[in-house]
Amino acid sequence: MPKDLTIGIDELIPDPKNARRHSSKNIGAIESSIRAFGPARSIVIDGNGVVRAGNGTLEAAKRAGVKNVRIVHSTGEELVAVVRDDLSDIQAAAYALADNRTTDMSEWDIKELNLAIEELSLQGMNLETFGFEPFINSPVIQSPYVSHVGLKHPDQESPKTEEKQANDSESEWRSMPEFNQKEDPVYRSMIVHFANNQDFTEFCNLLRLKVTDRTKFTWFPDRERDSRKLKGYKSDEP
Amino acid sequence: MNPRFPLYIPSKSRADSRPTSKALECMGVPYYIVVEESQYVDYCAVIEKKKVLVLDPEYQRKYNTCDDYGLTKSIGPGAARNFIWDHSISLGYPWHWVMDDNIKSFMRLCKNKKILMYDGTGFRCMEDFCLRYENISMAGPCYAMFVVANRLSTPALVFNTRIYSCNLIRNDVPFRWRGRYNEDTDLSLCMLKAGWCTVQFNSFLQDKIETQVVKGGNTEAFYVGEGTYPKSKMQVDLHPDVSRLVKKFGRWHHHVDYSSFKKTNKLIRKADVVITGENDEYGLRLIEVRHV
Repeated sequence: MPKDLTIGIDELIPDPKNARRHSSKNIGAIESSIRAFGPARSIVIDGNGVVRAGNGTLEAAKRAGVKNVRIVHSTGEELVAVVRDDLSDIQAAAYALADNRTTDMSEWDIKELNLAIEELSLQGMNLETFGFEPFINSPVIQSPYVSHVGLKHPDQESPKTEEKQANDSESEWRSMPEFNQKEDPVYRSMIVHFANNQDFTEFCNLLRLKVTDRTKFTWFPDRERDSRKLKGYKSDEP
Repeated sequence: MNPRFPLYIPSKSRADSRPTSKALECMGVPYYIVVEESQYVDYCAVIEKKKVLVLDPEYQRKYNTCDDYGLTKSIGPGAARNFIWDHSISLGYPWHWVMDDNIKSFMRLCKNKKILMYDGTGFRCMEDFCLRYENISMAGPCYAMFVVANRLSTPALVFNTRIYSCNLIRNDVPFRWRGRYNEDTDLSLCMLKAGWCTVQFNSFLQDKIETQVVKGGNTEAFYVGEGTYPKSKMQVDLHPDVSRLVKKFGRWHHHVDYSSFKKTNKLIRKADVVITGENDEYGLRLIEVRHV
């Protein structure tokens, strides 16, 4: 990458492994912000021109008609600030809100996120300090926490994707025993840390939790275990 | 209510624990357990003799392990499963069940609850479902631990994916078990690539003891010595078009992409099958359980 110059925006390469998913609504909001205030936030690219942070901004900037990118080389020893003398106080305040809001509107691509965490962990990179602690060493895909932290279960298809499936579960299951699932979301999940085994045991005893070394999550009260113990299904028919 | 088709459990060195056998005994479901000759006496000491079948060693000798190690390493349950396939055909059955020997119970998922089954009606329901269609080659219940009970988006069925550990197999399809590892995945993929459909049930579940926990079976034969790398590597070698190798939770795994089959392999319902909107409960009712 040449030193401190301006290049065409099309020379940048979107990250093919981006773990962040930007909906058209999200891109539209970033585009509106760029049209209203101009590009303000810097993006991060690597030495090969691949966008490592700011893929949504890149896409929206193209849509907003931005043609050029100013390249600023940095070794990570100083902050790079974009100075916008042209913005009034009101515009700057509005931009600050828009910038935070457009970040909120993107979501994780669970498959890409899992792969990225695995690959980086293998390279010795500890992601826990960057806020990924709930996802690491936890069966994210099966976890009831998934919907709670804004991730989508891979099988939780959007209506658009379902239309592409060849077979429909609900209609094919007709004339079979009742299934009738209802949404019963987790009210709240939290991670509790223990300094020693005595504290852990006392906690479990206080809440009457039946856990083993392999337990990854539990309910309070422990509703599934109770329902299993009391009842079972059996047919009257021979 | 019992299943229409015979149930088989290939088992090795688990005469004492035998979780699947105990679960089926508790449910009153008839079954065969298939063991190597050297362990026949051990199994007959704890299971009715007429239920214990001896594996013909010829099936082990002929077995395609998909590697160069031959019989120098344990070959897994594939050979016994092929013996079972042919045994069920010899009895005149069009389908058979084959299940791992570490399943501790079977369940029904309904109204957000996983409830234990106390007879074989779940097997009968799954069989009847498959018999409605021309082109289902394999089906089976999902692992209970993979199903989140309190979620609206959990469907009764998942089509065209891997069927594992408890498999209802159509006998006249032109496939057989192969491979030292991942036989379930390989057979599922061979069927799907040939255009057949597979069905995984969430409406009925198997509660399997976690792999590599119970002594005997593949735990001792494979994982303790060599880890999971050769297992996952073989999968990628056999089906590179849909598989890739990943390290997850400290172990090697293979990731298989079934998405293309979900879009292309369409169920064909038999012409004479009438499906109404009414549920058929098969006489299932909730009973109080005193001894669990």
